[in-house]
Amino acid sequence: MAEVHRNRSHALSRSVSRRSIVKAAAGAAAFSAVGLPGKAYRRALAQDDPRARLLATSDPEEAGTIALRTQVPRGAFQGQTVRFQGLSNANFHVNVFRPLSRAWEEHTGATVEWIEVTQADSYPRMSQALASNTVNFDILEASGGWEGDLLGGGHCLPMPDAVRNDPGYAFDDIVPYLQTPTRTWDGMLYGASIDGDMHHFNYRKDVFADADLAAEWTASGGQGAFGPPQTWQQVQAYSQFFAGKQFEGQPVYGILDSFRVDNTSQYFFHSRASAYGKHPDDPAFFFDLDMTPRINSPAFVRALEEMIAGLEYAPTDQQNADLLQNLGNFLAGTGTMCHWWADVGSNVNTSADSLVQGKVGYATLPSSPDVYNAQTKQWDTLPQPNKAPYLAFLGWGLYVMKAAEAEGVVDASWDLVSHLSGRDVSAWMNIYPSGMNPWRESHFQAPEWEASGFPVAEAEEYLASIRDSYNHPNRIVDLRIPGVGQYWGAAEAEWTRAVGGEVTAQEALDAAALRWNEITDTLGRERQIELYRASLGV
Amino acid sequence: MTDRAFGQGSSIVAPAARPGKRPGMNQGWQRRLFLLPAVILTLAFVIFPTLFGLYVSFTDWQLNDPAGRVFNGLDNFRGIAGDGRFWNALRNNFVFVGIGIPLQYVVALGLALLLNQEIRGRKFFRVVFLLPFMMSPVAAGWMIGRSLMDAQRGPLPELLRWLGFENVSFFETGARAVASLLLIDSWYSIPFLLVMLLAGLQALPPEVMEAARIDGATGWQMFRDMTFPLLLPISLTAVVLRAVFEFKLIDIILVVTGGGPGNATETLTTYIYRRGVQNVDVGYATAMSQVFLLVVIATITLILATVGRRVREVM
Amino acid sequence: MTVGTASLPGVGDHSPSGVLGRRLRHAVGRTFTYAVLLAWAFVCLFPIYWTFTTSLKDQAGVLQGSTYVPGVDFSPSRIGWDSILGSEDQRATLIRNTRNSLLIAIASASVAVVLGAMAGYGLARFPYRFGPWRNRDISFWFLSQLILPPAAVVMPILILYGWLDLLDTQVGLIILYTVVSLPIVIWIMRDQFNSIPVELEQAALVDGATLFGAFVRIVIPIAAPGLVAAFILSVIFSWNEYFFAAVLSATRAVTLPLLVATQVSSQGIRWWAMAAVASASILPLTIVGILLERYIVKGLTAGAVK
Repeated sequence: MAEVHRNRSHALSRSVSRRSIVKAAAGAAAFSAVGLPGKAYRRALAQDDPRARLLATSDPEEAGTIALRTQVPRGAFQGQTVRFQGLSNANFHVNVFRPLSRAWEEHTGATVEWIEVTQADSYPRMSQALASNTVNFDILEASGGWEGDLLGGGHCLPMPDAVRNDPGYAFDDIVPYLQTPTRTWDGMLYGASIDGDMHHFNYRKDVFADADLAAEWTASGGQGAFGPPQTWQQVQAYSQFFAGKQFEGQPVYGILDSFRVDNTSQYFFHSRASAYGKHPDDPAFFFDLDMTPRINSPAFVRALEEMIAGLEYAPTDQQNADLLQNLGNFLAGTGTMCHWWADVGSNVNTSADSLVQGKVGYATLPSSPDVYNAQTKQWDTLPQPNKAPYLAFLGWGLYVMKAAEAEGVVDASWDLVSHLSGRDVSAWMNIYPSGMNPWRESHFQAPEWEASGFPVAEAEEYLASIRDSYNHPNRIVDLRIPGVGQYWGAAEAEWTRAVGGEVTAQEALDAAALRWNEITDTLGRERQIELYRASLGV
Repeated sequence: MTDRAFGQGSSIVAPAARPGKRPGMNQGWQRRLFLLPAVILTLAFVIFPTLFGLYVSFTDWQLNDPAGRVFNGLDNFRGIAGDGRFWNALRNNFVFVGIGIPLQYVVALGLALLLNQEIRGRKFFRVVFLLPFMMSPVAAGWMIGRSLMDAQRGPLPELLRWLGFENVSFFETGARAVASLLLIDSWYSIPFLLVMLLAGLQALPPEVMEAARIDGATGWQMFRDMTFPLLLPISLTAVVLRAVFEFKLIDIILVVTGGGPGNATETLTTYIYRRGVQNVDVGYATAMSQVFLLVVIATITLILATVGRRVREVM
Repeated sequence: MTVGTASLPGVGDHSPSGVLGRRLRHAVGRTFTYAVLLAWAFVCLFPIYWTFTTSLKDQAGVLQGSTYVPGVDFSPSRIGWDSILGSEDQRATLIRNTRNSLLIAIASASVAVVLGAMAGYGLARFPYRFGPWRNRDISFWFLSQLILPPAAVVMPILILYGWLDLLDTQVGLIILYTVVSLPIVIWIMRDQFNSIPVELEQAALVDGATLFGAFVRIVIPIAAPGLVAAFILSVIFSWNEYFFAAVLSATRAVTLPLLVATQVSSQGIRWWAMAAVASASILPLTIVGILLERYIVKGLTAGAVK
């Protein structure tokens, strides 16, 4: 730390000067959003504006050089090795961090040792390392949903004020839900975001604008004008309507749900239940405040019943589909509606081979005219349809482990974290495919997205739906108490049994609730209640 | 011959119990030295995991529980007794082993018989028939189960559509999903059996076979009375090894169906993996593994006892 | 089955009509044999061919579905092979993982074959006794080490390796794979040795050879092909092992199967890249298979019948 302080003045001047530049860029961006088209904007600024220069390059190594953020002078961490455990996803995550960090390594003299784990293995690997005392990494890339284990278990170091308050890091630029509650535990800030997450609603604009289908819709007695659905009830009605219809010579299908037992289907289920189960007057969604499960409440039962009913109209083998298959199918033009993370949108436009380029619209998750009130045990019909965007998975963050202390690389670790989580690097990671979705206010500047092939108008719609989800007053912040994995796994194993008609939706979810209670009891009910309330901020 | 399957062996030094005599002086030690390295290495490696595992089976150990391991007596085993998912998974295990192994054995034996003839391109066929085994089960699961059999874009459903079936699904119902998984698993596993059986066939003493043929035995008689019985010992080893791997079937299932639809294709190894690794409930998963171990040992013992007796009778 | 139809011509029935009948039956049998063998060859090859062609497709090619011949019904793309060989980083990763896989698979198979052959020999020749345990129990004990699912032993092994400082080392994986391969080797080799007549060794012993000398000089050469077979099976198992490799390695000891898994993520399935890695990892084994195929069969030969 001493070393850092000694060089404070140098670092400060550096970051201040960078900040003023970035500010100028932001101003220009705001201006251009109104007037200038994006391409001209980029060309005009590319010569002298580092941010524009940064966003104009698709080379991660160059991006890391242009946007290098560090608080230390050259060679300050000479000889130190920082061990970074992150996701191995081809072309994404570590494969992007590695080249992005070359300039940082060169500048500081530190070496980064990259430990790559697959996405599916990342949670178990973390848990096993923590439980067997074999934490062999200093920085961990982890989901906000694992904070109960990670931070609740006291395995991480809080973010030093020097990092948090560094104007160049621009902490206040981060969207509110990732300042707190996510990344924070017991009032202390730990994690540095590199990603934001939510489910929003992707739909095929071209299908919902088709005159023939519209005529058929009206002829078949469809409710209201044919167009993008606003409520889950409409989603259901359209899915039924599309069955057997053709669009541009291909069979057209409705919504793509996920039923496969693989610890990811629950996100789709929760999204389907969001508007039914999250009452605006009630902060809770998954449990009552005393940890009584709501998974078997009428809201969840209704969502599950609708999902299962929808299978009848879905593509063949939809019951075996997982999130990847849905993503692939939607991009291939199978399915007109898909609730997913923001990756669908970035793939639609940045992947040159997507077959639905320019054909996709984006919105927050559908709403419902009625919502279940867990207090009164009644369905309430609100003046406005009820909407509850689901912040599923809570985004990837970087956490510095206590193990870094023993290795003497705490400062180096935080310096690297603040480089990767920095305002400009993160913008680059969002706009170019890296597996990250927007999570800073400054990421929502549509013209900047044009660099990756996103038309400005579409980018605006895309970004607005993400931002509105994050900031919605009735948003559902995903569960982040200890044992999230156990809760999801147990529930998924039960509710998927209803898919085959083995048991009814109610029976399946009753069984899930039973398992949730068991898990709460094993992990300690009192502690879970306390942590749950804390995680909701009540 | 008789005891091959049980490795009782025939001693080289005929009077084995003659330690005093010169040639046998240090033979007792030399003999042990053959076995000891393997025993010591295995023991050194497994002793801690075995004992630790036994202990963990009697604890409640969720990796993310700050309380750590808590001794809970027989709770896990009581839980297992009443865990429908466990029994369903075990039943699925027996479905895979009960249908898969005989099926794979019959196909492998048939192919081995054909391949054992004087035919052209024998080397080509042998290498090609071994290829599926070289693909990793994970890759086989993706490329066959998720790609070749994909309802929207796979060649197999397309072939069936071409044959007049509509909207063919390989995974829609539990029974179909099991059958599809068995197909993929067999594709991958038959080479293992085939190699061993082919080797057995190649070794049949040609004089004996020829003599039988001259005696006017028909193909079927030859097979029934000579070939098959002579193949039994190697068949037993091959089937026992395959059975162990079949019980542990997991990669292909996780990739292709994830255990679904519902729990229809979940095997015990899959369930143990989900519970113990993905959902970090290690105590319970380890307890299930102990039960699994006992069940598999019992089954293998049964195979060895019944088939093994027949081997000895025949010999 | 048709084993009988493949008899040598000219043996047995010499009457003209008999010869004709035999010829006819023979021809039918032959045709049947080749038809079945070719059909099965197709079954074996098609998925591998599909994997290879998928490695030449891009997103559009994959989404297009059932296309089979590059350049004819889809235009081949370099994206798959580029994505494992395209950049410096990717080549370095592929080379590192391949080298580790080769080293770990060959080393563990070699150790397993040496120790397993000795143990198999011992179990075939000498009556052992460990308390109430006889040879068959010892064989079974080895086999039973195969049974526990990896998920059940991962925590103790992780803890053990943490103590011994074996995490993320090639040695750690070599030891593990050796222990897993041992039972297979022992069971195969025991069959093998059982089938070798003891007279040869007895003669050597009479001539003054030690047990170990007789084993190395007399028995091993006869059983060498069997060793090769056991070796190949062990190599294949280690080569394709994913679970332990994922848990016990971090940066230094990572192997090829991890690279396959890497191609699947929440951003989609990169079929082309996965197929390229899968194709690339079958290739070395195929070469091994072609080179050593004759030994696999001959090797196990001796084991079947005394």
